[in-house]
Amino acid sequence: MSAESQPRIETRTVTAVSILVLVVGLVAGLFIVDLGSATPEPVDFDETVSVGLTLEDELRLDNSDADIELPKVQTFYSQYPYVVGYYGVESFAAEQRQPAHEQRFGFPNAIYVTDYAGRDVELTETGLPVTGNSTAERTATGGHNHGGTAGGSGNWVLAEEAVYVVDSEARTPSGETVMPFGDREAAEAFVESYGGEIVGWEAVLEVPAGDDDAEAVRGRIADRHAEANATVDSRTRLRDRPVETVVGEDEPTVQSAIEAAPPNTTVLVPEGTYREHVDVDKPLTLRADGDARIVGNDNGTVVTITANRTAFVGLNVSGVGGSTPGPTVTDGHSTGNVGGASHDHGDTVGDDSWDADVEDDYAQGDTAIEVTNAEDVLVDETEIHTDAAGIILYASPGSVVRGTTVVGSENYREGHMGIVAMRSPGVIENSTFVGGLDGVYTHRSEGIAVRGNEMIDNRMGIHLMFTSGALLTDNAMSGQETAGIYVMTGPQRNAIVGNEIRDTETAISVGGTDSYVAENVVTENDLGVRIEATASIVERNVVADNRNGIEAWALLPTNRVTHNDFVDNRRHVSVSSGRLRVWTHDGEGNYWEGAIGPTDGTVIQRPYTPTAPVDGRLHQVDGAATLARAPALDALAGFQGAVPGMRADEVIDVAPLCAPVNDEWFEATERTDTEPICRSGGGSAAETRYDD
Amino acid sequence: MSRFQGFGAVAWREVRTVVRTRSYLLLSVGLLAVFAGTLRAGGGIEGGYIPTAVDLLLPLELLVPLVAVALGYRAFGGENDDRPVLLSYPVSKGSLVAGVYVGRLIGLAGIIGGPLLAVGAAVSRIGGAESRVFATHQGADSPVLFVRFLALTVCFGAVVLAMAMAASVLVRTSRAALAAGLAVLVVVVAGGDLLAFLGLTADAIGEDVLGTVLGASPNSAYRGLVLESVVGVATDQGGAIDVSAAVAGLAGWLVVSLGAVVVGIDREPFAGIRTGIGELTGRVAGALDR
Repeated sequence: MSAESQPRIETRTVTAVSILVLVVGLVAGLFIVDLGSATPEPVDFDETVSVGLTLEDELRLDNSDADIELPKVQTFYSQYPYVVGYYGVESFAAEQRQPAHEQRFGFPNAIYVTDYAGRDVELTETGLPVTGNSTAERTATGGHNHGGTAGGSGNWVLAEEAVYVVDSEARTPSGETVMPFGDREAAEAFVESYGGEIVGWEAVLEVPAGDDDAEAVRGRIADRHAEANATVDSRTRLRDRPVETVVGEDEPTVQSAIEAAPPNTTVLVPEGTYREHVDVDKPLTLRADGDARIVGNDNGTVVTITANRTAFVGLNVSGVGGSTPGPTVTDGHSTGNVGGASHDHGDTVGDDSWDADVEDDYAQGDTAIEVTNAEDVLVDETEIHTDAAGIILYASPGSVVRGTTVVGSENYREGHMGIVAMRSPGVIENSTFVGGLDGVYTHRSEGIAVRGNEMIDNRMGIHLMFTSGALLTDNAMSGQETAGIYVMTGPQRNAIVGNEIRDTETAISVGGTDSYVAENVVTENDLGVRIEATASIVERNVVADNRNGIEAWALLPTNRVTHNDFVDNRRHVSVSSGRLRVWTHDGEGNYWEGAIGPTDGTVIQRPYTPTAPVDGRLHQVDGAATLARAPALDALAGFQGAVPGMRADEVIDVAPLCAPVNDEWFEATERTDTEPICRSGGGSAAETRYDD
Repeated sequence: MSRFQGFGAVAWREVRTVVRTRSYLLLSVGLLAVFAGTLRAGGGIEGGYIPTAVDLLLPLELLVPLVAVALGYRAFGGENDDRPVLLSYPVSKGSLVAGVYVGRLIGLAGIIGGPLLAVGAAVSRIGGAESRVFATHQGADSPVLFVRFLALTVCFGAVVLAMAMAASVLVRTSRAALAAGLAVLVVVVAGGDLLAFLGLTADAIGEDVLGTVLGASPNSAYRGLVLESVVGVATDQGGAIDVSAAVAGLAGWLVVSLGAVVVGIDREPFAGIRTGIGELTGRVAGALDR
């Protein structure tokens, strides 16, 4: 070895060793570096994807004069690219307890809560928090899901650093609420004024919220049916009032008979045609004896009811005027008052006046029967022919419409609703609505029941606006131009159960939260079900022969969609926006015609992704099954659900059912294209398409 | 000539061979095409670095051993036997083996790492959610995680490369070299996992030690480490594998394989195995005695 080369070699060796040390150090550093240390800054609440408030409450708060600021939470999840906003700390606490919560969103990297410290917080009479020196900006967005009331990017504190006042007088529109404070002194001052006690973050997460699991939801439906039955029984007894007056014998006209009859008796209307307009202003029962027809002069409303406990039984009504709200209503929702007031708004003045324009638009025009400010009215076995509205119920809670037929305008643009139920929760059942705008349109009729009706060729079958807690069951619909059932304006706790809807543009479109869509049969529609709702349950529905089976529309993946049967839809599922949804709960998913894989007798042990190009074609395209089994594609299926929050626009079922849930429907319709692929008796893995 | 000079020259010769061989470039392009196809089918690339790693994990479990075997199976064997040429170099056996290994490892890192870096660059451009209405954030996702994934993948490749080279010193003919390479492939891709599966079903492996035992199967160790240190960051659910066991398992395969190459390189193939094993046990025994 020469002397000159010695230094060069040493340099080289040093360089090589340095490089080696550097590489090893870098690689090791890669695994040591703590990625979770950077805490994201809070954002403007209007920019979060928010849950926990209905549009009605949102509008009402926007409309109020005070600077109401509800306690809010914003959460940055490890897997979810949007910031999720919650109205009410307790709504976050309840949501994070859901079993699939962490699987869907990952864990929270940072949680911020509203900080009321140093902001002179007071409560309104109803317990809503109002801040004095609020930096919040008032915003008046009417949009769904992102509209905020008093947002503002200031006034946030990390959840773990805040203290909380529980059991105080503070409320949100949904009920009791937890008040967060950035420092303890402010919390103590609040407790002094409004009661409650101070707890830490861990304790807040344990605060019990409403029981919203599936069993509780199903139980509530039975209760609501029982309530509706009681209402119907009570109203039906109005039919049996003693007959004191007979039209044609005691009095010449229906109207004069009404004027002559003592209250709480029956006016009997014998067979015949009565050309007059009728006004019932005392509690009477008008009952037909034979084919009795009241025919208006094609101008204005025919029958007006303004007395509580009025019953209208067995009569035909026609000759209704042609005045309808027109394009304001047919072409979407108005923002201004175009028609002029036709009702006295009474209690809607003040905080509640936000919907005055809507009321004016929708409750105006001519109608066969108008019921205004009259409680507990019965309309039974009535037949109505109208080019305008059939029945308008205005501020008339407890009313029952049953066994009634409304035949409306053939062209819905020229007609009006079969029934408008405005602030009139009651029961509408076993009735038929043909043509016209919407079969049943509700506005702020919380708890209304619409059961066992038939709706044909309307714009919509049932249209809920600002109506929570409705029970829509066992209705049969077909031919609706817009939707069979359309739930708008983000309400809560609606139940849509056992309806049969076919041949519509959209069978069911459900918005809001905590809703329940079950046991419906939707067939031959352009779209079976649009799920706009969050925190809702969609189960045991038959979705067959539609162009699109279900459209997942809600941005937040918080719904439980299981035990539905998807058969012969051109596409079983489409996704409009949002992240990956896992439609499996407790190890069981849905029945998908076309899903393949080995089964254990209950579920198929291969994930099914209805939105994927190959899986989505399995039930229609020969050869798709072979392609789906390609290792390259099969391998992908294995881990797809691993980080759902980071994936876009997909629905995956990790445990598809191997047999349909609604056996009876399949037997009744003699479908042959759904042979179950479960191996009888279960046992070890069996190949698909096993035929017993 | 120093030890290092010899090592450097050998390594450089190997790197040049890889660079000059057009088919390796094609292989790299082919891998990029497979990654692109996989990501298109899986959709991970729009999601970010973690979903991309999730989508590529299984293809890489198959493709990395394949590339490693392709690079390693004729390192010292085959018809155009390089061994006499290599052994004629004035370098120690250790430097020779290290040089060949490091040279081919750099080639492997390029062939696999290049397309993965391209994928990473694509993710940085189009990954993650964007919205004009809502505020978005990265969550747990980070390019660091993808670099981790890349590093783990190259480490996995390094281990299988060493195993393939060990197989190659045991045989003479190209047919045998191919067979030995394929044997390594089968063992790595399926063998270890199937053994673990059999062990679990036969109760030979207790449930409490599964996470540790899996470290002995190279691809389970790789998969476990990716799930633990890349995907696990977003899910906060640990327990994919016993990390130290997985690292020890991979390191063990690497050291044993390279040791077998050093021992076996100048011996007759099958004599090599016997002497090699004897020598190894002798050394281990000696080390234990000390």
